[in-house]
Amino acid sequence: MDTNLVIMILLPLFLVFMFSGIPIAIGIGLSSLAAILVILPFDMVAFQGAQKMFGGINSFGMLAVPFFMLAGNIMNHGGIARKLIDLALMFGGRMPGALAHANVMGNMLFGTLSGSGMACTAAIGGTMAPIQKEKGYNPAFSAAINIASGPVGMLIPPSGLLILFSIVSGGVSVAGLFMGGWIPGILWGVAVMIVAYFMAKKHNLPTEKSDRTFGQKLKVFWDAVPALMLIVIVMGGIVGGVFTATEGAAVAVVYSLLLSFYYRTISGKMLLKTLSDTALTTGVILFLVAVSSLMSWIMAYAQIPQMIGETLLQLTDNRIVLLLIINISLLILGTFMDATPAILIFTPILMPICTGMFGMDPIHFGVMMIFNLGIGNITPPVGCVLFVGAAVGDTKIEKIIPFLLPVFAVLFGVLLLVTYVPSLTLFLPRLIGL
Amino acid sequence: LTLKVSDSHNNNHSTVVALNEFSSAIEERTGGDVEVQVFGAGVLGTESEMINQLRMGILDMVRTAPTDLEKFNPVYSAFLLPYLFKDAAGVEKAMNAVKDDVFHSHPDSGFMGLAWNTAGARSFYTVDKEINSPADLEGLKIRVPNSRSMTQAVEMLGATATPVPWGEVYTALQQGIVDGAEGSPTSLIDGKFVEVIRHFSFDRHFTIPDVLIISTKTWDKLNDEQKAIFKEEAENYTKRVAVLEEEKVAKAIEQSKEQGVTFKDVDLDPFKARVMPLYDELRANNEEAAEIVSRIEAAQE
Amino acid sequence: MVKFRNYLEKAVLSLITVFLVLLVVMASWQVFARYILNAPPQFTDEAMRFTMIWLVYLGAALAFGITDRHMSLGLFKDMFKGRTRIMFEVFSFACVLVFCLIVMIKGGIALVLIGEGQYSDSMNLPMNWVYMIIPFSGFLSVLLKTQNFVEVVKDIRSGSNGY
Ligand code: NA
Ligand code: NA
Repeated sequence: MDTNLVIMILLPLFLVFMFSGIPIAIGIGLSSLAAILVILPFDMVAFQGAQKMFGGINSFGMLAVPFFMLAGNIMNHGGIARKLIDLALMFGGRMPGALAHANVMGNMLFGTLSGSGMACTAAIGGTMAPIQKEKGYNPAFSAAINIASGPVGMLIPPSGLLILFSIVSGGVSVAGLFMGGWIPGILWGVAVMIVAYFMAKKHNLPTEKSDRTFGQKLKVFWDAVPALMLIVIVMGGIVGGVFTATEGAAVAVVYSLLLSFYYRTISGKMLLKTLSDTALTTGVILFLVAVSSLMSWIMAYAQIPQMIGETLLQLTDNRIVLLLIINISLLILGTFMDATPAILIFTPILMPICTGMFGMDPIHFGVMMIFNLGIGNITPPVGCVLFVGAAVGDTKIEKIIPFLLPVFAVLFGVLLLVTYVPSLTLFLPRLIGL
Repeated sequence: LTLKVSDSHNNNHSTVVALNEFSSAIEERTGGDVEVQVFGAGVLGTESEMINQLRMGILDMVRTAPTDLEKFNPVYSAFLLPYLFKDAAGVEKAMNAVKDDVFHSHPDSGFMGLAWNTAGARSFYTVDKEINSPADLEGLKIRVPNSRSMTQAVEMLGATATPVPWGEVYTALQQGIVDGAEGSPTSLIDGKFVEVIRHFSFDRHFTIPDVLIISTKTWDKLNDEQKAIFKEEAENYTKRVAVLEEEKVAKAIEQSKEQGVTFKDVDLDPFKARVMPLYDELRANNEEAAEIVSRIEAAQE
Repeated sequence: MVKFRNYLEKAVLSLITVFLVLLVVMASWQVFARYILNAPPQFTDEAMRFTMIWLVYLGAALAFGITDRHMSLGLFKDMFKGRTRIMFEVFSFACVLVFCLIVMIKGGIALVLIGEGQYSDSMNLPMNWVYMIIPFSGFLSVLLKTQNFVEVVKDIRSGSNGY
């Protein structure tokens, strides 16, 4: 009975806090504390809150989050995005809406490196938007395609969110998750390109005639090689076991720093600002992580996951239907929440159901969940990639939405594919024996 | 009265299984007056976090190990000495001799021991190089858990101790970040290390029993009849884990052999000789624990 | 007062920047020492965790002093102006205050006290010193958030800075 009471306090309070516009972290913290007061006295709640604030982020793996963020920010300011766009244009140039395809491929390439949907949308979209406008593309269309492909880097490794999932889930192999993210991530990108192709045809968008000689093409490729090498070094190092995922993230920082010096695109002043910005953002994000771990603890203590699990199983014990319900619930929640808090809150609830009761592989579950929450990043009302994409595309969200709707439909289809065809995710991890 | 007991082991681990049985038995025998809720899989935190929660009154019982208990009660340092116990029978004999005194020492710590359980003997296992003597450990990177006493002992035995979090051990072994690790044979199966490990040497450097602790405040809430039931069921818990662990170790060895791991008995004396300074150090610095060590040694004569 | 705050913020920002650099250096050192020196350092894991936690709580406190630096859902409150908007800000301020006082300061002090006599696993640091960052961050957050709150209310009243 206590469990019900805790949920009845936690949920409405959480929503009130969220919509009143207070910091999400404080909303999560206060609603959790209020709810657990049903079971525990005030002093204990205060102590446990502080213990979780410390313990919730006292994990070595958590370091990968600031490291990958820093690497992404350095590359963002280091002009590395530009080299990758040139490369993408060379490949996507012959299709109608060439620049849109180049944008998607740019996001896939840069997303691979940065692992942050926001950094990627800002870096590639920010560079491409003016070019597209000049060529007569509707800014809302350009922005929609940029936004739609923004989150691919969350799946294509290395990815901070996959690392976060590994931590929250209690140690699902990071290398396994990284390998598992490749195919669903590429499918995501391809799906967006297919939508872009039909939309571009309908609106008669131009192809990019390439008058480059073979030598010039080679030069474009050659210029992008140092950037591409980062993927080889970091991924190869992690999967090949030269270093752990966290150490790999530090290597990514060092390499991107060297790269920025090589391209000579980052000044000392800018570097200092990048460092302090990243440090501050680390504080913001890991504070949220710490508070979410408090919420997870409180839910575990009040035995809420068991209750939700039982309720879901009472609805149906059909695996296919249940996975559909879970996916749709996550999609709805994802429209309000960003991926980071959502992973922290829902992993402890949903993972035992999927892996425990249905024997779903934890890697498969993690990739499915991040795919799902990635969609949440581009849906209104709350979507950081959507916000950033609209800002760099210099257009309004309500104008972008009509172009995004078909993308949502197609991505939902891909999500179902990823959900019900485990081998899409598990093929590569199995290949390296995980 | 509802008690909350927490265990960092996974839900199918012997200790959690035995705790669930303990819970049913208590509920039945107290006619439902005392209910015990079991939280497995470390959902309520790490072991030292759980001990703090118990001291604050948030939890009532915790299954933990002397590695974390020694921070609160120095007597438990005794159990962190390598080669303290001769064999499984020795553990039982010695624990029965000292457990009451150990469990009730330092009541100011806020908890007392209720039951102990075997966690098996820890030995070295490696990917390439077979370990027959301490000399074979020279220059080998061996994974250790993040614990000072374990790191120290492994270094004294000759290896380079490398702390790696449990979740990353598989990849660390597979890719040669470490050359081996140490633990009981069941860890080969639990961590899937069996896919990469080739040699297991029974050097048995550690046998550290787990302890089920209960908050003294909670204990005082029980009436005499309930206390008696708790003590009896605590004995059953100890026996039950022993049975489950024995089955699990046998099965783990069999499965590992099928996957090509070789198990080897080694001469323990050269290993023991290396860690003797640890005994002298404890005798010099920790009188209470040293006394327990002497009694453990005497009980095994 | 304003001057003091500027110095304080600059000092904390510099400190967390140094911490971040230190983290990258320690992680690189760990890889280097393992491969080149064949001697994996015992202390880096713990040192990095504690440095990161200190960075996080100093950074989070700093972010409370900057409008909208902590993630929040602004779409509803942004629709209001004037007096109603001030009510939203008062509510937000009160929530941050309550959380910091109860969890970070009161709970944090309880944590420091329970850490008395506990030492960290590999560096043998007294845990009450390490835990001290939680109540300290709570205190710093209250200070900076109060300053920011006063400024925001002033801006809403005068309709400046986009309100
Ligand atoms: Na990525
Ligand atoms: Na959304």
